[in-house]
Amino acid sequence: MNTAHSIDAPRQSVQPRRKVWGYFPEIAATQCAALVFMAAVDTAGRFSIPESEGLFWIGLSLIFTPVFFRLMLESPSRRERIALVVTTGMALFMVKILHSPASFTLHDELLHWKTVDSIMLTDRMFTENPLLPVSPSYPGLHLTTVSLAEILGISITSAGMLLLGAVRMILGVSLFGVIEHASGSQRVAGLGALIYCCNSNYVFFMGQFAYESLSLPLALLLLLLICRRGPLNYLSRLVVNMCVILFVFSIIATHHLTSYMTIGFLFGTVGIVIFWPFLERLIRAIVNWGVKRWLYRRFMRYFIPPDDAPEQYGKLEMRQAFFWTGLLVATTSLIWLLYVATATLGYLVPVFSSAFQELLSIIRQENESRQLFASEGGNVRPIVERLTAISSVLLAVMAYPYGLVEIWRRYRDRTIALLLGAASTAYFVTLTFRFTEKGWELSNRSSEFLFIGISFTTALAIISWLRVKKLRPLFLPAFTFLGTILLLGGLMSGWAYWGRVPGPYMVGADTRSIDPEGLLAAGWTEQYLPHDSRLVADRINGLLMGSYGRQYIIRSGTDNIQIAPILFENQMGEWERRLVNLTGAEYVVVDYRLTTDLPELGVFVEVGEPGGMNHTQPLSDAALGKFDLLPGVSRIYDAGNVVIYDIRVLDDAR
Amino acid sequence: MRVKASDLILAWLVCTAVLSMEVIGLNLPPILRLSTGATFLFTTLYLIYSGLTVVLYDDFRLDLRIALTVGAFFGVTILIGIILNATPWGLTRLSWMTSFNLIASIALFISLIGRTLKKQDTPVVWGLSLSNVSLLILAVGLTVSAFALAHIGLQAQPRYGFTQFWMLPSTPDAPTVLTLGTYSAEHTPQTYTVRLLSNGVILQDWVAIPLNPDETWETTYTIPNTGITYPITAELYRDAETVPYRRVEYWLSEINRLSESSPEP
Repeated sequence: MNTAHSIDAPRQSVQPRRKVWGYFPEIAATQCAALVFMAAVDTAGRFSIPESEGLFWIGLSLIFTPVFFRLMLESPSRRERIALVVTTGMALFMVKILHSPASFTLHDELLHWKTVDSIMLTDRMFTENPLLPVSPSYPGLHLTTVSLAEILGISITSAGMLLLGAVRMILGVSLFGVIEHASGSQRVAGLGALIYCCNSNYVFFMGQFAYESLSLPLALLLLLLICRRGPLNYLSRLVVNMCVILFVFSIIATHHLTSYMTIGFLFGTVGIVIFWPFLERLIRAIVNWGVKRWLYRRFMRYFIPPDDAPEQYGKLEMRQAFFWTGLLVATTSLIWLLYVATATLGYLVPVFSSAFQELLSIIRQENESRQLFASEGGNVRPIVERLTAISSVLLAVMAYPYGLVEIWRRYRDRTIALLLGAASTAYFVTLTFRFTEKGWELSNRSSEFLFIGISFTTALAIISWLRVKKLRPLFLPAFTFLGTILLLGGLMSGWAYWGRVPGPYMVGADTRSIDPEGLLAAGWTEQYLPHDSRLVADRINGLLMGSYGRQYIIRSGTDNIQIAPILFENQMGEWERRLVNLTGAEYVVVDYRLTTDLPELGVFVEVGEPGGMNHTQPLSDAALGKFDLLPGVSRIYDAGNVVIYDIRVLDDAR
Repeated sequence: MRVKASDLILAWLVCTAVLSMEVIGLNLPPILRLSTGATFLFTTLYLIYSGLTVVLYDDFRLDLRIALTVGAFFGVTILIGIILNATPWGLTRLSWMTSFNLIASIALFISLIGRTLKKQDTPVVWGLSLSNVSLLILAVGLTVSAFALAHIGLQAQPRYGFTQFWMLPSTPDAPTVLTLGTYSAEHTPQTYTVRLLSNGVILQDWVAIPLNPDETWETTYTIPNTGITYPITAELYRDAETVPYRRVEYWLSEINRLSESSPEP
């Protein structure tokens, strides 16, 4: 690795024992004490104590802030930095675990639980999952979980938590390694890897039991291995090549989007090698002509940190491994797509196309943009939260040009540094999708990949300003504060308010809608109804009964028809009876709590339902109670709010 | 930390011993199964780490070697899973353990051969002082405490009590034999009465059914298949309440229709 441009302070070759770990043990103990605090906050939330949400942010800050401050300093050793990055990642993962310590309660977790459960029941892969048809085609997460659960004799939930904990460690180490390779600096690497925790998905979404949580760390490890492959001897290179092939295969068999983003990153390096010389000439011409001669000397020098970078640069490093690995991932992905995961295109294409169409219609002013910081249930977040979330984006925007300047000054002969710079640019482009209803999720999900670039540019920006020694005493606390804002604002903008701290039941709010009544009803269906009976159910009961209840939930993804009218209409009209015939529905699950409020996620049953995302009133008692008035329809289960009807009599074909 | 050949062989023997217990079909209690399984996984990971370390020691630092070991283990698991799926054995505990033992054996072989070809010059120095270790133990203890506290909070979360009540045919083959059941998820012990009616006529009462929280009561009732077209209704009364607390019903006509349409045995 080229260390000529390293911006780390000169180090002693032999460090005293104290210096090896520095303040890592003290900070780790502090973080774990903060976890006890977080557990208390979660408990307070369960008891509906309103201050719990405010205390939640304090707990997060206690985990993050000391590490951020420490990693900005020059003194910590490499080992201390990497240990702090890994423990912070683990501590933030524990925040998610403490939120629901006994079971999976996030939407996607139950979808994948179903696939794992099917594998364990049948000892075979590629079983059907009507909740997420594409899930069995990407069995990486499920196979690793099954192996752990089988060997240790533990539940799927416990095996999943164990797996995700190990994966967080890989994520921290890989991210540190990639940024270290890009910058040649342990300090930038530590800070960059920590800033990645400020990604809006990091705490909850990336900690959930879903295929992306496994594939992304493996993809980063793959990238790191390719970066480190160059200067190895023959034997090491052989082993690394085998690991590269293994990881390529693992990523493809684990998650569709991650494999496509990996192709993008690997071919991106090839694109940079081809186009950078032209772009570099252009930038140099601009710098020499305008910026350095006039603008910089008169004005910008007060706003751009001093330049102590070397004058000499090497030729842009070119690794054939990027191209060949990219080609391998692309070819294997295509084969997987054509022969194994054929349902993927039907799953992904509508998401992308509708997002682009909506964005275009907003640009053409044909459509209104999505209201930010407001749930579909009509809950608008307080001004402080909105300001913090906007500030976090603004901070990344402000750091971005400084990061690019640093890349230009120091790392323009490093392909990975340029790639990360490009990724940070792409991140801001994807932010525009946040204004669309359908593209919001697309932007949110791509941020996991592209935020790596933001981590890099932001870390570079911070370190560049810390080179101004006179201002360092001021900058250190200021940057620590701003770093904490970046974390809190990121989470505020990316995770719904009701999902942060546990609390009482809410309508259509995934984790907050899963309670003992729903869980026990799902357990009852597992015990008393034949497995894979065809059920009509709302989003949450469908999720629970489709997974824990081992039933077949009728959804548009598998049955190509919207079943929601059966629950929505006040009478079983001709179309509703026809729906029963078309789908072969056997049982209907009715949850009377849906008559009490609007769903926080905008849908009672699933995306695309009549009135979905625009519901103005809860479901009516008449709509849910109509089954009691239908001759022949048996009311077989009653738990107060949740009632199950046997509607087989309505199916003429039976 | 310099790895000795005897350590590697011992790890492999332990790994193989756990596999042997599975092969002979030893039915271990869950806690022993967990500990033997954990030992099996740890020794497998240790051997994979040793195999990778022998080759990559000079090039990769400790952190990357550990991450690579765990990552490679997951990668190998996915590969093994896909291969096992194509075999008659499928994805069973025994097939997983046999495969991992094979991987551990290969890793042992590489480690032993590699040690003769390539020497590890610089041992890994952990550099942890007693106070560091104490603080890290404290950190682990605090994490366990946090987890325990979260569990306690979950159990203590306020929720309203409710009771499940159901009635449906005991089996699809015998649609006139109905299963009636109730499960109490109330906070306090309750006394229930179950009343079975047909067209307003009481068929049977089950009175004073005491149920503690998390207890189930279940019975069966055989109804005469007389071809009547109104539903059998079951009502659940709580304590001395006169209004039904829960109500379920089953349509005899439906029973008749389904039994007629079901294939002959």
